[in-house]
Order: sequence, then C-alpha cells, then structure tokens
Amino acid sequence: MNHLKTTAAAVIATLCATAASAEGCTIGISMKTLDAPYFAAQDVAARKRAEEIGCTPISADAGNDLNKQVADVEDLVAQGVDALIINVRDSQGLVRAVNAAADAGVPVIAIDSSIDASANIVTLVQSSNTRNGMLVGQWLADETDGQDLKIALLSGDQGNEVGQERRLGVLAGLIEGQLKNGGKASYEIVGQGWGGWGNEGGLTAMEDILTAHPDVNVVLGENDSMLLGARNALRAQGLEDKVLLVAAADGQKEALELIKTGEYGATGLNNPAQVAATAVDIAKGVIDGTMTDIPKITYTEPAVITQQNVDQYYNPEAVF
Amino acid sequence: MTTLTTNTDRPRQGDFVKRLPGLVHTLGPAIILLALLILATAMSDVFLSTRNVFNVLRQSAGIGLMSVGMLFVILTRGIDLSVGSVAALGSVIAAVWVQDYGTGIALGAAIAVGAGCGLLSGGLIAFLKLPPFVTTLAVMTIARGLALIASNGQPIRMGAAGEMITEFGVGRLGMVPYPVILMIAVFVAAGLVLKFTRFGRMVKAVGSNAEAVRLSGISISRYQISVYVISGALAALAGVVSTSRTGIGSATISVGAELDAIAAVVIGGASLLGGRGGAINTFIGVVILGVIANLMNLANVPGYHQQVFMGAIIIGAMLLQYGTSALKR
Repeated sequence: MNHLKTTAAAVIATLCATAASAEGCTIGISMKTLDAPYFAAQDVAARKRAEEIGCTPISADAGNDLNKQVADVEDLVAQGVDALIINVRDSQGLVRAVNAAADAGVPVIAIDSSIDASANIVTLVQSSNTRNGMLVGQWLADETDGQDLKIALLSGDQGNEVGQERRLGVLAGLIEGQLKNGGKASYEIVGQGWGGWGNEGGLTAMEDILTAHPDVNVVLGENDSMLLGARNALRAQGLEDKVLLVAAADGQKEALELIKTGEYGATGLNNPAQVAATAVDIAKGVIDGTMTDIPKITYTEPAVITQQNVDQYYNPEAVF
Repeated sequence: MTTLTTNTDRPRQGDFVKRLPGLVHTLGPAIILLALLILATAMSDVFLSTRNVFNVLRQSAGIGLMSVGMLFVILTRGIDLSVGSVAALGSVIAAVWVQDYGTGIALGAAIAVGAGCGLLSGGLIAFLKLPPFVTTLAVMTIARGLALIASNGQPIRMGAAGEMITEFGVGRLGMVPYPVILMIAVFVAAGLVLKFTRFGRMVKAVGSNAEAVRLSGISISRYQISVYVISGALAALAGVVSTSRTGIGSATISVGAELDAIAAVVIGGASLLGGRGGAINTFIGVVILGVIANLMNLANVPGYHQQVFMGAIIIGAMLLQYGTSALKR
C-alpha cells in the first residue's frame, strides 16, 4: 500500500505544478503535431500571445494521430474553453469534432491547414502562398532583369496543393515582373526535382538536376529546407556564387542568416508565429464580442524577405 | 474484517498476510483506477461531468476493442503487433465499400479482412511455429501497406452512403454513446467466454502449459489460430469505430495503437508469459489509459511532457503489479 501512496503523492505533486487555473478567457489550442520546428514554434507563439492579452492557453498535441486530435478537441470543450484554435491533421476527419465544438458554443478558428468547407469555423488563418509567391517572383524579375533564366525547380511531393500554390505563385510573379520591366517574359525551367520538403531530399534532387543541367543559374525551392540542402550540392561543385537561390516560403532562421550575408536570394514569409498570433487575436475578439463579420479566410500580410529587410524578420532566438 | 480475540485468530491472520500480495494483485488495477479517479477529480472540476466521463469512455472504445483481442492472444502466450495497422485497414475497407455495396456488406468486409489478417498471423504461428513477435510485425507492415494501397494514401470520405456508420459514431442510447455500448458488450462477451466456456479455459491452458495440453491429445493450433482471428476481427472493428467518429477512412490512423492495447492488457494484470489475465481487469486497464490521457489534457500538461508522464504512470502501475508478485515469492 505504501507503494501506492508514494506514487500517488508524487504524481499529484508534479501534475498540480503544471495544472493551470481556468479563469477569465481560456483558449484551447489543438495542434496536429509538435514534432517539427514549424509547429512547435506555432504552439509556443499562440500560448505567448494568449498570455500577453490576458488569456489562459491550454494546448494539446495530437502527435499526428487523427483519433487523438478528435479526443483532444472533445477534452478541450469539456474543459470549458471559450474559444478553440486548431491546426487540423485532416481536412475531412476533424469536421465532425469541430462542428460538435461549435454546437457546444465554442467558436473555432482553424490555422494553417485547410479544413473542409462544411466545418463550422469562424475563419481560417493562413499565410497566402499565392500572394507570398507573387512578391518573391516580382523580386526575382527585378533582380535578374535582362538575364536568361535557367531555373531548377525543387518541389516537395507530388500532388501537394500547397507546393503547387507556392511554385505557381512565384512563376506568376516572375512573369508579371518581367512584363512590367521589359514588356516581355521568358524563362526556362530545366527540371523539377522532388525533395520531400527536407534538407537531404533537396540535396539529392539538386545533384541530379546539376548532372543534367550544369548551366542552371536560379534554384527555386518550395521551401527553405530543401534549398538549404541544394546549396550544399552547389557548393560541392563550386557553383554557389553563380546560382541565385530563391524560396517561395518559409523564412526559416538558417535561410535568413544566409540572406543577411548575401549568399541566399530571397524567401517568402510564412511565419508560424504570425499565423498563431493573428488567430489568438481573432479568438479574443470573438470571445469579447468586439469582432463580427470575419471573412471565412484571413490571410496574414504577405512579404518577401531580402537582404534589404531581413533584419526586420531575423530573430536569433526563434524556434523556427 | 471481524477480529475475534480467540486462539484461532493467529493462524488466520497469518493466512491473510500470506494472501495479501495475491489480493493486491487481483485488485491492483482497480486500486490504481480509484487513485487516478480521486486525483483527477481533485485536479479538475469538469472531470466527473457526465459529458467528460462519456468522452473518456468513447475515446477508449477503439483501444478497448483491440485490447479484448490482445487479451486472448496474450493469454496463449502470444502477442499481436498488427492491431493498429489492421484497424487502419478496416477503416479504409469500410469507407470504400460502403459507397458501392452499402453498410452491411462494408462492415462485413472490413471485419472479414481483419479476421483474414489474423488467420494469416495465426496460421504462420501455429503451423510453421514462427515466433508471434516477428510474424505479427510482418503482418503489421502488410496491413498498413494494403490500407495505403486501398486508399491511395488519401483520406476516404464516406459521404451520404456512410450515414448509418456515422450515426453510430455520434449517436447515443439514452445517455450512453453507441461505441461505448459496443465496447462494453464485447468485454462482457469476452468475460463470459473466458470464464464459462471450454474454449476460454483451453485458451488459458494453452498459454500456461502448452505441453500438458498437447500431451493430453488436444491440438493447440486451433486455439492459437482462433485468438489471432478474434484479435484481427476486433481490430478491424476498432477501425470502423474510428471511421464512424471521424466520417473518413484513413490509412494513417492508429499508428502505435498496438502498444496501447498491450499496455492496457498488462496494466490489467495479465502476464505476458500467458495463462493469466481477465476481461474485467483488462477493461479497467483500458479505462486507466483513457483517464490518464484525458487528465493530461484537462490538467494542461504540455504535449511533450504528456508522453513522459504517461510512461511514468504505466511504470508505476506495473510496479504495483509485479512488485507485489515478487513479494509473494
């Protein structure tokens, strides 16, 4: 019996230390996963912003498990949260749980990952891949005015809509920029490599493209991570000074450091913290009743990060 | 306990002290659950609300169904690592088939495919004497692969055709959600089978002393195969329950669920060496895991810490189980 008493006492002591008091405005945060820096940063930012504006954040990590996230939503609602912010694991699979929360009177704000139109949400907060891409493309047009572009494209994975939005956004911006600058547009995409969004995948894909097309002068990546990997492939062949690196997203810390030193062209701002903070502010507004007529999709302000403005975005302490 | 101050008192007290470890062992899971319930009630004032209690039970339904199958397998001294993947396969099959063939056939197909996976594992283990651990590990990756193939890696939305299935996931009989009724019915059936049927006694006997069973002229293969078939069928059913709650069939659900099912069975006092374990205590094991997960959310324990707490509490429960049986020796 003593075993039990001591175990229970220890558990009570440790758990109570982390238990939060639920007074005033409580905001539930249901994250599909925390196993990537992007999502960890988003969770941290949402909690921080909630505390800044006097709310109590309660967050739950679904560990990429759809059933766990459904349970998380139910638990948060049972706990009496005043609003729920959710980054869904699956655009269809969470609809019922989200609607049940809404029926229970909890306003739901989706972030980042799109959720099916049948979900009863207040709004979806995203950074706009298309609008970010346009800005990146226009910057690229200005930067390479008068040059023949031979672009190596590094994509994430097949059939990914986000990747598609990102590359098409940049290419649309590039055409628009070239038309504005010279009344005509031309570029060549020498190949599309699939890097699986990661560093290593970007490296391998870049090596393959370089073998076939050593005359590449621009690498366009659908995220920073792949482009950082590709940079190693370029360095191995001594090409890093001849090739301009441009990413459609995200503004990862390592990329910003290189942008600062001029070794990396530009990237689009897809700041997990900005998305999270915007969602928290909307949640607070809805709880207080000060915010009405919110559009179904809320885009964060688009931006291209270049050497000129990088200091504004670079945060050495950032998680992401 | 009534204490009589007579001479006969002494040996009796000695008996009781001797029996104490065994008693703690049988009641251990219930004691742990009780402690957890007290802790949870103290920490969160919404814990005991009707809504939350049924939330916990409904969230446990999937693991509960898998745990019943796992209990049968573990009683024969086996292990079934494929249940999470088979659940995903069942979920996908149900969601795909319901659109073309209707609810009845879709459910039947899902459960039959699950049972088929069990038949494969059980057959290999019983006839070819392959070790259960590796055999079911192989079936685990096969089932996950089949689920990905059948769904093309995309979540399958059932749409209007799946209305009956989704109604099951959200509906209630009186206050009690249907998935909870299903889980409890399966536990009751398992308890009755284990306690009162020849099949149940033989399953335990195969686990505790396979040699004796064989020497008495009874074929053990039949029982070995049966338990894996039961486990596969119930795992697929667990997948269908997931589909009923989310409205989609997904090949990526229940990753690692086999570990939860094994944990529930073992916390419930079953021995991985076979022969020992029961339905009631397994049910308590399932509820313990459900309460811990729920409590973490209610108590706002940060995500990364949850996994550490979960493991620590499971170790605590195991110490109570095995610590007391060590005392016995």
